[in-house]
Amino acid sequence: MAPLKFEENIKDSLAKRSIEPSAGSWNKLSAKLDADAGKKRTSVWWAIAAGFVGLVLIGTLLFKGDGDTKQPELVQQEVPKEIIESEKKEVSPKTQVALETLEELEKTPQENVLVDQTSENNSTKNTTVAVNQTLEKSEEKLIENTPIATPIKIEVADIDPVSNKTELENKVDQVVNQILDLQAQNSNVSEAEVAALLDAAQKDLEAKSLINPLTQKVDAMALLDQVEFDLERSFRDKVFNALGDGFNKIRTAMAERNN
Amino acid sequence: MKVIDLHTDLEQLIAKACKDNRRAQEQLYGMFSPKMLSVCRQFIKVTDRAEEVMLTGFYKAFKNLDQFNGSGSFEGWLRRIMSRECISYLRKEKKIYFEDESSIDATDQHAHYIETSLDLDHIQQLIDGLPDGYRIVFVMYAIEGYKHAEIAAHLNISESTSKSQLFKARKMLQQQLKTLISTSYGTP
Repeated sequence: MAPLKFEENIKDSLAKRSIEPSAGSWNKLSAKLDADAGKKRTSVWWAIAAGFVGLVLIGTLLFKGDGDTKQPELVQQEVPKEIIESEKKEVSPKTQVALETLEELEKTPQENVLVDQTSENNSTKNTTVAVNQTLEKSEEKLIENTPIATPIKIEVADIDPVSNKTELENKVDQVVNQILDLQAQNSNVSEAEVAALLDAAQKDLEAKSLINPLTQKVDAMALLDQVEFDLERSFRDKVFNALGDGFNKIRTAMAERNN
Repeated sequence: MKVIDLHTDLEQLIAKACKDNRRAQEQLYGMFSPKMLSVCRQFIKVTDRAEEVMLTGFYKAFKNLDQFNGSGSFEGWLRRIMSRECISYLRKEKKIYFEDESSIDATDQHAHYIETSLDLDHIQQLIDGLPDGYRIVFVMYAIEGYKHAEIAAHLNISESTSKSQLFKARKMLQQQLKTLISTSYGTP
């Protein structure tokens, strides 16, 4: 136990020992602690300042952002009458006819009722005629003394929805007549001759329909209309139908004469 | 009653110092700095250097005063901080050198000190005479009461290295003690 006793003696002696630090030691430590506290305070102020600057920046951005998101103002410009008229002319024939019809129908209240009925039904000629007939019956009692209320005036059946159709039919009739003339002159009309006539007529119609008569330029609306028209029935089919009808008429006439 | 008052005063002082009260910190410094300088002096041969390390230790102690939970003695907590700070200082100065392990006697039977009573100056002289590696392990084990496992963890060495350092430190101390007694106190 000798070594332990010696070491215990050393331990006890050293544990009781105290060495006085130098006079300015506390000042050194205090200055170090103060400097650290100053840094803390400075960092707090910096944090506050940074936060304030951040808020100002965000506010500025938001304010600017509001300015950027202003709704565009609508400016009403007076459109010259010439343009309106030209646009009216450029409206597709179906729409134009429909508009005209509406204008006519608005002239009398009775007609308005009929327009509503027809527009609601939005149907074929037969349906419209049926509606007209029913209206005639129902309104007979009410409008006996008002002769202007006759629904005959506004029969949709009488309205040709496509103004170009007459021209088209004329062209068809013209082609049919030409074919009939050829048949009268030559008993056999070849298919090539018929096809040539049809092509010529088709090209003529297309050229006429594409060129705006006012500006003498190709009309964009007319091009669109042509596409729409092509979607319906081809010109060739219509000619063949017309030929078929003509043949039937001639056959009927011949049959009746024979009888 | 005096002990209880002293304890209560110390707790209040620590609480105030924890809130960065400079006056309370100065009072704590006045109470414990002489003993802490003694601790640092055990590890570091030069008193001025020991004082610098002690100031750094107090600075860290005041900054981390909220970590003192009051379960142990405040002095013991401070002593540990000082020991760690001294080791850190010596490590920075690259004064710590641990020799390779050799076959040692792990018991206390190898050390046979001459029975004598030494004054503090001679005790410090003996300790200062040890190489830094020996001295650190000897002070930590024999004076500050650390276990070999703790010393190994603090110094980042193995336990066997710690035991080897202690063994060699004791051998050297015995020789130094013999020399000291023969020169200062005469032959026993």
